[in-house]
Amino acid sequence: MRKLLQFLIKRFPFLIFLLYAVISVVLLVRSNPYHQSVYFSSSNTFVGSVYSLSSNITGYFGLREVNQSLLVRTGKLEQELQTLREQLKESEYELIQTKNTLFRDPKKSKPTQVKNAKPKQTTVVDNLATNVTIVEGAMENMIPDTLEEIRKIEIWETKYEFLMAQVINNKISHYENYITLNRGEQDGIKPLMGVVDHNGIVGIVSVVGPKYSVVISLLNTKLRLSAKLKNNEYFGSLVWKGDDYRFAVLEELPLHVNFEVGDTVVTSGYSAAFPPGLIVGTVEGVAPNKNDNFHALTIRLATEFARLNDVQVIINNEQEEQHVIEENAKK
Amino acid sequence: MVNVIKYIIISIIILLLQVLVLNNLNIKGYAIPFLYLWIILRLPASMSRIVTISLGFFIGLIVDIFSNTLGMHALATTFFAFMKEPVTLLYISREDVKNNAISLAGLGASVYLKLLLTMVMIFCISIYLIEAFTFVNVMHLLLKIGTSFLSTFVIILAFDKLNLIHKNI
Repeated sequence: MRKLLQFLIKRFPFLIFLLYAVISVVLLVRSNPYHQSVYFSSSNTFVGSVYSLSSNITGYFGLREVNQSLLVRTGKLEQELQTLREQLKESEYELIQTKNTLFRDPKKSKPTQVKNAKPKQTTVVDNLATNVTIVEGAMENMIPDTLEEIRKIEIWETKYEFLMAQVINNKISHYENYITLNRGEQDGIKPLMGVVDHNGIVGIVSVVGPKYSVVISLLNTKLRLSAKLKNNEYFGSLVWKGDDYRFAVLEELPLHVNFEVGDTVVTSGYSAAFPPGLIVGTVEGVAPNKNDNFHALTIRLATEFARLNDVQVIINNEQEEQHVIEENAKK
Repeated sequence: MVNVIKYIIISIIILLLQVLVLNNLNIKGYAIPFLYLWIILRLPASMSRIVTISLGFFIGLIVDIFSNTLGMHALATTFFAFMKEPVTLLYISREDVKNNAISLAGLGASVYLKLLLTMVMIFCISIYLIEAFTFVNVMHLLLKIGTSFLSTFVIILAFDKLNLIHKNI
């Protein structure tokens, strides 16, 4: 017994070391990008406010470049808007034309049809006339009347909202990188929401504190994202390999897919975090691949991770519903 | 007493500097200077090993919480603090260690450089091995260890040269 005690006293520093090492290893192994503790991550209020303070200063660095890329982006969007407007005008014109040919012409024959349908009815002419207009109105309602109505339907159907947020901390040097944002639960952010900036996609929200939240960066070897080639719709799985922060790899692409260097890669929209068609990057070349049955392509990321500043969090109003359905399907 | 307060204030400043500036001060993800090791290294050798190791763990944990790498720095700094005494005794006798501050001025250039070289190497190897736990790309790993070793070594040496605390704490 005395010998044991002596041994313990002599080895006490080592035992203390062992204790801390075990605690660290448990923390290390248990940490999962999607299930982190709010207290032990930079989404907690103290850490967040320290980062917030420093980003108040560093946020002004590189604004010239940000401005430049925003201008380029605005120009592109303006162009796109112009073409879309023209298309909309054309289709509106076509719509009105088809509507005219469909409904205005057979108008004269309609009263007789109604009469035939109700041969026994002996109503006054006034009553009959209102009947006809009601039937006609119902048919017309099926196709939107004017541009205003088309727009209304579009808005009603968009399920995505964008929320501006500022990056207060961003890492690119680890294998598992995270980004801290200055928005949290109070602003309506929830885990698994997608994050984009004006160039492309950035990552997925993992931990949400009251005022700050942590985003799993696309530069995290544990994040896999569904993405597709824009011109032929074949999709694969995008993953970062932990080396160069400008490139990621698009894996699991079928072998027969044709591609060219410079092809655009966009989100597939299969995950609830991102709407389809957001730019991820461009094809740079073929990546080394262990699996012979699939292609792997090196993708130059559109987002400049070394220079993240302002981002948008995508709020998908139907995300929860999709998750519930997907979870149920797994059972 | 004055030196202790000075040491605590300097430590807090170093930690803030580490998480806010130095962690982002890298070249394409390589060459991260881990200046905060100075806090553990500068602790007097006469201090109980248990306290040194505990401090190492908690300092590592703070850096971890800031950089969302839970357990990584904590494990590496605990090991660093644990190895401090054996490595120090490699280069100087127990008597000399007790009397002198572990700094460039206290130990003299040749001993301090040897000590710093060994300790920083131990830390860089351990932290990148812990990080690469499941992820193996040997060339990339060696490059990360090498570059971070160089930058850490230089920055700690430069910081120690400032000699902000003159005597043993």
